[in-house]
Amino acid sequence: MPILSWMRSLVRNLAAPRRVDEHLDDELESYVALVTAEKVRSGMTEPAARRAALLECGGVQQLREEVRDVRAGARVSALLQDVRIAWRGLRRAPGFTLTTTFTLALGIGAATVVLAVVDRTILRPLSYADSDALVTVLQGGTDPVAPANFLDWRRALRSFSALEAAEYWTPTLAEGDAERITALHVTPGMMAMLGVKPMLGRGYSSREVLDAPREVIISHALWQRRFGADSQVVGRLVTLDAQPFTVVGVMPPAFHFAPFWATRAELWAPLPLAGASTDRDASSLRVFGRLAPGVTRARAQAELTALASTLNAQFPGSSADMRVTSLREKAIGNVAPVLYTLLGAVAFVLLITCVNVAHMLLTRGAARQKEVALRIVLGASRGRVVGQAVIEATLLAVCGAAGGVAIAMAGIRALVMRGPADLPQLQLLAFDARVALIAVAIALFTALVLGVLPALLARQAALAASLRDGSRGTTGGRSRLRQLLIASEVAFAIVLLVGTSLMVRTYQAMRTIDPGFEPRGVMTMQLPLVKSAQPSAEQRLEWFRGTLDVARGAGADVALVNHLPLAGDEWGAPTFGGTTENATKGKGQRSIFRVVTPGYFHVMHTPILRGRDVSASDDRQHPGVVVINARLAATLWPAGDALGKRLTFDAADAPSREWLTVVGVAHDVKQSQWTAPSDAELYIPYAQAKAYLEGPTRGTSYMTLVARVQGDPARLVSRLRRYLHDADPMAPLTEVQSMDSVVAQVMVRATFVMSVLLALGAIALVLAAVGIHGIMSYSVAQRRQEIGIRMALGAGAGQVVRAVVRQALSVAGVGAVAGLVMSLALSRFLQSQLYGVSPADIVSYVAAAGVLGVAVLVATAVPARRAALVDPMTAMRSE
Amino acid sequence: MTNTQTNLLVGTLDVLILKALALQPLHGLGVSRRIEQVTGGTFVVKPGSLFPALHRMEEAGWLAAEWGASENNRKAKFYTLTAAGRRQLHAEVSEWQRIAAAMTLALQAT
Repeated sequence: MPILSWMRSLVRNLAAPRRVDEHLDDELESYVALVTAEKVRSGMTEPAARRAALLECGGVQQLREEVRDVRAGARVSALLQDVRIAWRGLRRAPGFTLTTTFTLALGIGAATVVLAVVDRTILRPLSYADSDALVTVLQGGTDPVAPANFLDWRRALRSFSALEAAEYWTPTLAEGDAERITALHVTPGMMAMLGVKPMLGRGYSSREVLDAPREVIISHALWQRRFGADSQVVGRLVTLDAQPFTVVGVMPPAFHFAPFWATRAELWAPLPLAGASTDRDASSLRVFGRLAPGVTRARAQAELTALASTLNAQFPGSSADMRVTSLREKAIGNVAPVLYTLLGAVAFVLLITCVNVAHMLLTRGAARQKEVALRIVLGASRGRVVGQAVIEATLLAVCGAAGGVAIAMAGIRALVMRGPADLPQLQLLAFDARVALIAVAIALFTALVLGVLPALLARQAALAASLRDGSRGTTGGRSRLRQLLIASEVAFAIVLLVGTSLMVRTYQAMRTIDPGFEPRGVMTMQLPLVKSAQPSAEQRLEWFRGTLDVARGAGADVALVNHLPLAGDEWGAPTFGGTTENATKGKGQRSIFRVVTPGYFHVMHTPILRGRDVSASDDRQHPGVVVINARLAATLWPAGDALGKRLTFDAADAPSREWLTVVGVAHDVKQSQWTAPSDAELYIPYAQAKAYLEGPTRGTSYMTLVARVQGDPARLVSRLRRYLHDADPMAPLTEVQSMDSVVAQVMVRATFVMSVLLALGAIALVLAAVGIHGIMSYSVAQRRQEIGIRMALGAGAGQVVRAVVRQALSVAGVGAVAGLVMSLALSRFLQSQLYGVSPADIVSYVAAAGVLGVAVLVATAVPARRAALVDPMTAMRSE
Repeated sequence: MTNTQTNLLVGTLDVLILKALALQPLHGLGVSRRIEQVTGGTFVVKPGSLFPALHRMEEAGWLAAEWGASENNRKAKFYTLTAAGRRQLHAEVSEWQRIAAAMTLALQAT
């Protein structure tokens, strides 16, 4: 068939079906008229001739259908017609349509949000080119590496096509209001290795590892926040830590680096490595690499291990336990179980949604059995009747999807605003084309699942028997199917509720953890070492003493510490107890290294268990002292009292060993992880901390002030701000936050998982209740006659209500048992998320069953009451 | 109608319609009568087969249709053979002749 003429016909048939039909009618009419005229000529009367002519045609309507069927696009127009019929049908039943749409929208919306998060964080977490080949190389998989080691690796290792390093940096940006920002020093080849080009500008002028041009690349967010999104920003000079740097690039909005540890970095400048190229002690570099094409991680690890052992022989203790980890794992490793938990929860919500809608369609199908049978008798093909049911389900799914998209958009917005900062890339989440695609896929999947059921029913309905059978379509099989639906709805909801209560119990258990200090009422802020105070140890001591006096003047109980517990940054130092004199490098007990001023324990309410706090007299004129925590005391001196014992940071072969005397044992404090046992810790008095008093100011140029304030802390903050500004306008007060909020940050993931699960649990509960209510109402309506007979035979209203409720509860009970068994089997997978509660926690199971029981009772109450109001006479007459 | 009337063989209707229209444009009844006439009343095409076939062939581009006046001045839709229809007629005629010859041969064989 010439394609052009076919296309023309198709367009004509679809665009103006009515005109084509009219033409056909005219043609048939003229045919009948011509035949009639013939017959009149051969002697028949006009009416008889016309009757005979019509008879010869064999039914004009059928003829018209037959002609229509051969037309181009017959199928398309039949489909459109079916869609129109389905749409009209749905509009005739607004209650059904609205409930179904709402149910589907809830399910699809929730599923879309969670899948979008999973997609963002697990499936495409890293916005770098070919990110599967990216790895990190770290000591023990977590700790930084010394510059000389990194440079040796770069020279020798062949498994990597690139090896670059990054170092934490918090420069003060002096552009208008001075602001300290989170930044990274990176080797100049970093961006090229990641495979991301700046959106503006061309990047660093050199890619040589030892070159450190004074250039910066800034993040999209910083560009908007501090540079007014100025398209001419490239080439501009900015002042960082009082040094001029040229802006050479703005990264695209999706670019984030690093994906772990320094997740909030907004600026990247070349790492000045030239001066540190032989340093094997100051481990400050996080090393990132790209595996050479075809090289596996195992092979790279083998090559690295071999090189590290050579280096270790040459420089003892310098290269122990170096590990190659995939960057993806490093970035998302520990959020994966969270996301799989949420994914599972969403699957259950979708299941409940489908069961609900399936029942609604079932009910509707039963109500329409006669109509369907009639259509089949009138010649509608079975395929078309089944197709009709599928089309109706699809239409509903489309409406549901539209509602779901609206819910998903709102949900995503809420997540971006309230989600935890440590879910990488969550901030990038947006309702984009990809998420829309996810929603459509879920909707199509639902339509398919839902389409199958009415299709099966339509087949049943095709039995013309139901035409003759003047009654409703409830058979024993059908009502068993209903009971199965109720039971599975209850079972799915129980699984979700058990998961939710386990997380709630976990959250409660976490709230009761004693971190070893009292966060309430403590304000914290970072105090810089102003430039004028930097030259000597005396000046540094004097500067901080003066600042503390100002703070005390504002009525606060204050002290300084190098890093707050739980604030994300921690330093470890290998420590040797006095009894293990032959301690070798690399074998020491790793302890969290804190530098404090006298009174720190008092401010934090951390109990000193034995001995004393560091005091004002513990300075450089007096022998070195240290306060250790109970854990370190038990590790180094398991047998006896730690007080008075000595420890050192220097290995046995060090040129000289500096000993510190233990003067106090403090209570353990949560250092990095809220739920993990406390690490070993030690506290050095600031006045004896060499690195802080004499070292270069990188990393040691600020201390954190902790202040226990009575009343409003604003006075303290504003007074300190003024004091700092007078001393050095380029040294702002930063990171002002309450200790409570520091703790809240640590709890954020547990809070997040709990609140999402609570939301999903609530959705599941509502859906299940709505579903059960629907099923019970229908079942009561079906049994009106029976109930009427019972009441006529003397059953009271109470008895009827009890009967209905008993029926619902017994079915729900079966579902609940199944759900509890399922939960028991599934909750094992939650284990890693739980704290202080067992996956088989009886309270959670009872609570879930109880809540659901109440929901079932409420959902049954209305239909039961309706049953009790049945008027026996009306009910029995109604058939 | 006589009892010599035969059911249309599958595939013969199209070629009969094309042939009927080869001489002059006709309306539906005209096509039907012409086929009846040229086959000596052997084939009678009922409207139930005729109109679907006409429309199918029109969609295929073998026929063109336009409204005109019938012999007794009634409005009627006249079908005309298009160039494509003429080609189709030639193809079908030669095909038919080949089959007819083969059938005759086969049935005369002893």
